[in-house]
Amino acid sequence: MIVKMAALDWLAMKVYLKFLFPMLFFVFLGGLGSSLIIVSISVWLFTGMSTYPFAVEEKGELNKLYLTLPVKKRDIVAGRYFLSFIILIGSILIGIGCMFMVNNYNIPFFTFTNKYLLNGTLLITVIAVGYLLYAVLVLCNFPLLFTLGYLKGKYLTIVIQIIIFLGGLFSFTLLENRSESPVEKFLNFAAENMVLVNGMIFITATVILALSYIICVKVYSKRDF
Amino acid sequence: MQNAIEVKNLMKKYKGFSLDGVSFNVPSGYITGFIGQNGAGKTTTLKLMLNMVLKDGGDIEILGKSNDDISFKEDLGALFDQPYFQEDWTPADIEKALRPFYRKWDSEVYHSYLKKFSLDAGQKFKTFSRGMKMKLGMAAALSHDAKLLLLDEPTSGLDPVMRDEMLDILQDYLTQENKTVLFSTHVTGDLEKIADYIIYIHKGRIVYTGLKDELIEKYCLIRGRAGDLPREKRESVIGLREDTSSFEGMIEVANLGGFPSRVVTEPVNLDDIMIHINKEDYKNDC
Repeated sequence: MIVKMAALDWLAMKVYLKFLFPMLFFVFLGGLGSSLIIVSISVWLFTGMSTYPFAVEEKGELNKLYLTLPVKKRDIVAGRYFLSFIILIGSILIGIGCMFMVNNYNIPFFTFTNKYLLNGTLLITVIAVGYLLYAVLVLCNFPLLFTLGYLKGKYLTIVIQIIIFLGGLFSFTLLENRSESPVEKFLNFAAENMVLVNGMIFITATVILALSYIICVKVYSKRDF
Repeated sequence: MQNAIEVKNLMKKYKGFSLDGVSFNVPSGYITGFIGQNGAGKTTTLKLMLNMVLKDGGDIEILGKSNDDISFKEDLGALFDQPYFQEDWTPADIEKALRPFYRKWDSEVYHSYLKKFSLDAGQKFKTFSRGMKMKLGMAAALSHDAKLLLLDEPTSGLDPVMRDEMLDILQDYLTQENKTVLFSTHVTGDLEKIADYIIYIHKGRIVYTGLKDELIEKYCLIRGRAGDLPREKRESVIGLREDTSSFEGMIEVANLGGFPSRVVTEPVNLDDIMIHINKEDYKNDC
């Protein structure tokens, strides 16, 4: 049922799929400073895409359609989480692809980009950070949107997302510009303690996701349409 | 006689409006009209049945199951004043969206309805007229062998020809065995044509539930000269309107005794009943 709900959400948001190509452009653009943040940029942009079903559900009263179907409210929430997770996987793959291109080819405009040697350890860390970012974004977006709906909740979520994005970008730039880059130090530490660091990131992100899912199920099951 | 729907003591409170102990049954195999003026509680009641709105109290059984058990929706077709489809969906998309949720979805039936209603499977939902949209909603509701149709104002805003076509579709549906329709509307003319039973809700309370013909035969319109209204009969005239020379209103046929023979009586229709009960209520509120 969860897969069916995710597929229905995907079908409902097909009008927004035209934004895919502009988003790819922005993923690349995000790599101007450092190829390391391309995956995070990709996750940030595409996780935003997983809020599109909330946008169409109010415009087309999709919730009411869903509630005429033999589906539990819990499955509606789970379907949306599942779709967002699939989008996360897609965004990580796209991000890694872009990162690989920026790192390995001399693409104009990316000449001055900080480049790194891509290896398995680095990739796992980048994925773990992307997953954590996704979990935080979902926590910031989904409970608000399930509670208030898109029209009332979107401005709050946009503000929160911009704060996270600018805060992340600012911190990263600040750290990267220091002589002894803490990012590199962290990557080296992560490389030496790969299981510990990435494991902690994955566990933290999963706990955040589970928490936000529980909140969403509770608020959605009490909402009147 | 089995009931397709049993509602007992249903409660829902909003600011300024409440459903107050609503109870009624919808018998299987018939069309039941759910009438009441705008804001009387019809849509709220239907939404409570579908769990779109959470009840504050009471029980709802649909097709023998509590409405908390969502499996009853497998056998349910629901259509509100406009189908809840996405604007850019085509009838083909709608089938793609709904088919996975119904074990008994029949593509052949769906496409036969599209053909019967002259709906192009590739045309976007937003480009259909209101009547075509309602027909598409009916096609979707009828394509998974639903035993019960819940319809909320399905004919409002349709032209007379399209309304008549919708009523024909419902009558065709009822020719199949063990099918039930609950049809909520304030356009009572439609129900005069097709309904067997009536549930009348007024300000969140059920005023009448039973056979349509019994309801219509229960009341009559009455009018006469001012002096023809005996004082002891004033209370029995519902929605009484009088001036210095005449009076008119509605009365239960059982209360007709005691009037002079020159008063004029006429049969009522559902509109008359709603209008006079509403007038009476307004008078009492004042």
